Amino acid sequence: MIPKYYQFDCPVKILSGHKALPNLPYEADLMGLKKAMVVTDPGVVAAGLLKPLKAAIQKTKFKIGAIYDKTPPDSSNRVANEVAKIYLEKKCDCLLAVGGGSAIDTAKAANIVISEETDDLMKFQGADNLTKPTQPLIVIPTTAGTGSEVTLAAVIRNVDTDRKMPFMSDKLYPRLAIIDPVMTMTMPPKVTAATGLDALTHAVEAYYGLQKNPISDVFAVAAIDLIFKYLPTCTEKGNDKEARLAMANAALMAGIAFSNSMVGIVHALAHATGGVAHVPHGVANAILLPFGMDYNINKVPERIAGVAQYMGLGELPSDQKKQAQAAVQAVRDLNKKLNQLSGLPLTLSEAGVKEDQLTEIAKAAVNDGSCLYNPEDITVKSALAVLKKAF
Amino acid sequence: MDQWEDKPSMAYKAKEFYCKTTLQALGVAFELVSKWDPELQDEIADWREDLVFSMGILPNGPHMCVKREGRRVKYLGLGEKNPEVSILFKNMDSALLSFTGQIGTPGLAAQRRFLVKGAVSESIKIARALEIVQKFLFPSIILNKIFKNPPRFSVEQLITKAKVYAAIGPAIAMNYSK
Repeated sequence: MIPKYYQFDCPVKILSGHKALPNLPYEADLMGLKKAMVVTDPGVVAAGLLKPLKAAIQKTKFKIGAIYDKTPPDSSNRVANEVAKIYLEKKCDCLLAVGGGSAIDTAKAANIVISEETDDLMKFQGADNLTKPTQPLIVIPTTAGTGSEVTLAAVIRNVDTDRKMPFMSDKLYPRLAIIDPVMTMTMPPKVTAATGLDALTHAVEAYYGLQKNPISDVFAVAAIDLIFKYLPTCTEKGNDKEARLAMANAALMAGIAFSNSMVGIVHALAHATGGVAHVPHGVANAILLPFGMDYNINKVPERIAGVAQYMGLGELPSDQKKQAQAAVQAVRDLNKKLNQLSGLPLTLSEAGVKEDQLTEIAKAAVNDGSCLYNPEDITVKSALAVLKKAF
Repeated sequence: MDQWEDKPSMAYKAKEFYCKTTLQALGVAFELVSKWDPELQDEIADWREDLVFSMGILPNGPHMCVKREGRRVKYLGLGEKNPEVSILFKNMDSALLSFTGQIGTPGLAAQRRFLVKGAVSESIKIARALEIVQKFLFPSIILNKIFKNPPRFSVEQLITKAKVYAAIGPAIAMNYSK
């Protein structure tokens, strides 16, 4: 069914494939860019992932003006301010994020600080609150999950309140995303599984959410199809280039989908679980996804059933509700398989959540913006019930 | 080029008048319901101390403001009055979809009909509070359409709804100059 009204946007140029990275200087030249500030994290440096970047830009006009390599997993407004200060001191003309969601979102947040000439990110949280043109941002993802390389969103922790702040603006879209499997080959199995299931959560929630639209649906189902085909292989054989490239594309497509249709209860609970119990976002999403689908199954059975055919299930039952249940079971089975391959936790307790934290998580979750887009209404009581099932 | 002159049409003026009156009614109803309904009072108690909230229409439409005072809100009147959190409709037609009971908050969000200025978590709490106010303003036929689930009323809430209907006219008149 076509929605009465919808919007869709993705202005990011995408280079995807083997040897995509060496095209960076050419693309930078097209954009008139000469001096980048790299935003990355210690894990990327330790894995030697800056070496292919260095090799790609050697003997070209495109130079690295500064490198910030201390981005923590849950980046903050303080880190964004630090990055912005270095960017301005070194007179760079673009940001180059090399890493997973935290590095990319830090670059986006620093971009806000630079462009809005502020040191108070708080003032710009929410949707459409940026007024000035931002600096060009190029993204080279080193994980396949966040999708931040193609989204208008960034999530940053406020160090004063210890809460995550969402930022959404058309001005936060990267100008260029370079998807090269050489940058994701070193991901360990557990991170591969968690980030891949993060991408699956983006795609599934994009497909059943209230803001879904025909174009985001196309990206969502294409992502689901690739994830079910390639995520187990990627987790088991990390050096499989075809599987790595497929998963990088799946994450990107899921990113385009959810950037336009938003997410729902799984993300609301995962954000809160991350805030209260410090469970990594991908892990929390992976655990909660089947429970979130199940929570919405009576409200939008046709939407949950709609993803079943992309999950490699073969012949499906003719009954819509049974199809929807099969989709939930397929996600549970995938989680179990990845648990065997990588040790990814299957329950919140296995992920380190304490039972006495569940109420606090439920209370935080109902104030998450994602709740608005979930088909079924979410209250503290119902959120707590889902958390207990996932515990 | 006369037809492109920047002079508001009668239709625009009528829409603007309707939106302004509805915003006034919403502000007044917010204050009234917060006096009587414990569910709304619990919600307001979770807001930041002395929080000022505004709802308005871009680019130059009317705004109304309320302020948290303990477990209640006080209607401050029309205008912006330095709000910490604002919900802003992108245009008059988007506001009318809400004010005529055609679309509820989730539908408006899904259609990106408004934007939020200020802390997102506070705006979600405010959106829940506004839904409670709507419960006491709109008839069930509309509520069933705009809410994710049809709201249920206790006997006390049905009495409160009757009290709101009886009091809102005089309250708007008393607050008209604000």
